Amino acid sequence: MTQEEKISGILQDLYSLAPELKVQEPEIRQIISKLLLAKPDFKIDEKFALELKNKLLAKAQASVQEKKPRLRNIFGIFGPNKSFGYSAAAFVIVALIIAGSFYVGQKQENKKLASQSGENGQNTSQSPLGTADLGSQEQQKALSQIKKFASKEEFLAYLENAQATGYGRGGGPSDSQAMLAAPTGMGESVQNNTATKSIGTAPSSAATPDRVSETNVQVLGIDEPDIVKTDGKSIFVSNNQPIYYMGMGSSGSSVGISEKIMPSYQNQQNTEVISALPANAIKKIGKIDKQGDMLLYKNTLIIFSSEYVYGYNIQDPANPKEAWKVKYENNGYLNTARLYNGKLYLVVANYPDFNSPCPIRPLSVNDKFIEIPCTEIYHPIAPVSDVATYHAFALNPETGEVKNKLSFVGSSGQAVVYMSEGSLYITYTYMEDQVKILADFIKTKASDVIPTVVLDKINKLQSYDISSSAKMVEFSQIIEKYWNGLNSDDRVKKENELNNRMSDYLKSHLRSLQFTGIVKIPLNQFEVVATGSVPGTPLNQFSMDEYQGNLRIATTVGSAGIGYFGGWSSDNSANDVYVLDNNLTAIGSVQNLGKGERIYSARFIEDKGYLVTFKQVDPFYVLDLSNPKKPVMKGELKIPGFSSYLHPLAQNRILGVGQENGKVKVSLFDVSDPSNPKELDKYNLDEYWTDVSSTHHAFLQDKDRNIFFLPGGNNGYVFSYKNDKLSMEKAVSNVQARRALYINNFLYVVGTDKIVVVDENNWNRVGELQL
Amino acid sequence: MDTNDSQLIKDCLSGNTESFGYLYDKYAQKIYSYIYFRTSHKEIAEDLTSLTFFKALDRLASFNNNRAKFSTWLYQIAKNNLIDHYRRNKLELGLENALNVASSENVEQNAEKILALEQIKKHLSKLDEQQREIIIMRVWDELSHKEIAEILKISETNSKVIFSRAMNNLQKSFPLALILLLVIKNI
Repeated sequence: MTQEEKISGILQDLYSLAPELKVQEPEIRQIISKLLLAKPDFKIDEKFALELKNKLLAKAQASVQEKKPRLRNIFGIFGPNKSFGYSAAAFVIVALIIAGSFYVGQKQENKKLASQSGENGQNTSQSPLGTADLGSQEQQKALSQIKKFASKEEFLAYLENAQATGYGRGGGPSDSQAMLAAPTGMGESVQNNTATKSIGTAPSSAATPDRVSETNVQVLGIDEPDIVKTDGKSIFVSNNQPIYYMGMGSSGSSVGISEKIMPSYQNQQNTEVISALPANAIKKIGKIDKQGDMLLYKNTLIIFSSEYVYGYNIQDPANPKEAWKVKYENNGYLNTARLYNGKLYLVVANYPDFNSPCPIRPLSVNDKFIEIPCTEIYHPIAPVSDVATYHAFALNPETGEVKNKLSFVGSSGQAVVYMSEGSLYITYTYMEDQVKILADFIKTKASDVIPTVVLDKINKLQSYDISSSAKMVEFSQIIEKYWNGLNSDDRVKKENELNNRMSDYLKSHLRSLQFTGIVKIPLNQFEVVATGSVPGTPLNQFSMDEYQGNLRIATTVGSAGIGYFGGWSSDNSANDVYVLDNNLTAIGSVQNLGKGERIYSARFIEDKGYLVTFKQVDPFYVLDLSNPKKPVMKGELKIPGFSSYLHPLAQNRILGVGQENGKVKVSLFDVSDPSNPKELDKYNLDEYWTDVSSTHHAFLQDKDRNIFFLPGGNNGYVFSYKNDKLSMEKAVSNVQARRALYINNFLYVVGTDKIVVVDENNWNRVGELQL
Repeated sequence: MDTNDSQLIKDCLSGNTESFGYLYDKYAQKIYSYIYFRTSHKEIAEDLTSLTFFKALDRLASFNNNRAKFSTWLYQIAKNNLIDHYRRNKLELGLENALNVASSENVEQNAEKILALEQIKKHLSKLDEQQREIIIMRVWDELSHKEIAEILKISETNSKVIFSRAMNNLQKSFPLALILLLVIKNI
């Protein structure tokens, strides 16, 4: 329907009831067309839509299977419906080898990069990587300068300014990415990530098992919250979230905004304690009336519910006792948590109180407020838009006592958290100031369309010391005045001209609109020691990795911030990998991977990087990062389908878990020759969805047996990767599988309402427990 | 179209689960937009969209074709999810809130829309909640008055009356001068 038809339809309706309004038709038309102009017209994200569809179909199928044997009308009666064009798929793996030495020649390199990426050359040579044409250079610089507020008044003044930079506040600091983005990614810096826990973390009474699996995490040894935990004797299952909750795109972080926002749909708030041994007689022994992702530290089980973090003493697992609790105050919420080296790390975000921003009380521990004084809050010297405050804490996991705390000010755009063994990295997304973009556009690209008088006014405006939003108002008025003075022929002509040029301008400023600010917090110092910024947005925690003191970050540029001027289009998007040094200064980059595509998964392994981008064909890229200042794209592989999780199975062997033609597919890649990645084998599973595509926690590898586990729809699947061949070793049916773990030689498949135990020696079912 | 929907539902209930996929394809964007307009937050809109469809799937057997169309039933579920969302987050019910968010939070918004929205907001804020809701449903969601009536559980005439009153109010306050236009784009 054209706009005119829409308006006419609405008018017709209107007149049928209120014909007297006809006399005001011109005004009413204006109103309606403005309403239509203001309509947020964002398309549903294709990847999200596809994943959701697959999950729905998987669920529908699972519920049918519960009732009767699998029966499916393959063709459907209505034939394929193409309303969403997801069908075509291809995949590229990029191996990046990023390491190196181009610090010295940075200026030159900048130019090279700039021209390489087709950015217009006006950026100053100082700006890191030549990516910053408008204000981003100064912004990057200002962002890298951070200090603490001197007083409450200073914070208030900062907010005043900051508030004006964006378009007012709203929303919430979004943990979305951390929580909701599709997890993908390979990226341990440590090769063997499937951890087998060394024994003895559990209470030392009964016989200790020989081997116990741990949650599949990004960095070996740094535990991440999940719905199933075990110490080898007890299994803790906090499983009642309906299947669709979890993981709708969760990148496997803990309590996400979804849990916070959405009432649990089936509302039993329980964590079951199960005695795991003997395997043929597993039984429920205890219950905790709280629910959420969990971490397990010695005798303490930590549960992240939507408003509290609870510590339970489980020395006697049959009688868990609440030992401590932490509450998020001031509408704060948990972004994510980690457990490492005897400390529990929490990242919490909230909005500042615009009337009295500090001291901030983001948490209370056992009903006592934790307070952060005004003078202990870091902020970038440059104002950011849409201020949110982020708080990082290190706690004693056994008592809840806060050992370290810090707060900083950032933008409320999506936050992603990555923790290495040495540092915590917190990122947030922010947008370049719109007036700057528009003014720069007119000055550089439209000075022949807009007369000098108007230009002069804009220039003058730029020099005023007023807030950005005030500038925006002024700016619109200047333009509007001019515009209204034109006759309609001129308007149409100029409009057209401006549209085209804007579209060109945006194409050449891909890296000047949306940025990711990065804050680095070394664990031993617990202070903000460096901040930095790169163009674009990361996908999830796997988009980042620290190696030999450098941070590597993969981002998609031009996917979000840009298309809007010229209509929503991701055709301009591209993907970059940046290497930042110890001080978060960019020292090297690879740009323009997968033009018009976006990242589906990323993983960094030592001096290599692997990226999957996707749109029509999906490439797997191999990046050589061995020279951090000169990272290069070494090889790529195009195969059908895409991987949304990359897992290093063994030396030079990467497993990709993803989709092909709407069904689950696993691929085994040989990356021993970075310039020539190969797909050694693949397996197409007759399932629409696996939770691995939403959280890496759902994946389990058992290295001793060369097998891995995937949940899918109603069933759980065990695959072997012996001799570089993917074969299905065992299907465990009708469990609504969510996770699996192993204890000794038994595999425990944890489903929504039961646990099935199989003997890994012969794959016989040996035990079962209804939850 | 509706016969199709009810046939698809029947098929799905009788074991042909693929047919739910067709229903999904048909309505996913609409439901997403409906929620997006009222939250202006991509991830929240995605979460609530999933919740809406999963609930619909769960309760498909209880859907009564005689009482409402499938589409309006879906909108009703979406609406209830939104209300829960607002409550949970202690947000004030209603569009005004969403519009505020729309103009600020979303870095994905572009300048033209933000400006248009800023203006719209000013004027819509003069209307009462129900008027705003109906204007948005009619203009942005492109729902007919019949559908609006079913979703909001009011009569069709009532919906029309409220809409015309709202338009009347708006046109009294709306300045004719239009915004900046680097931008009036093809919408």
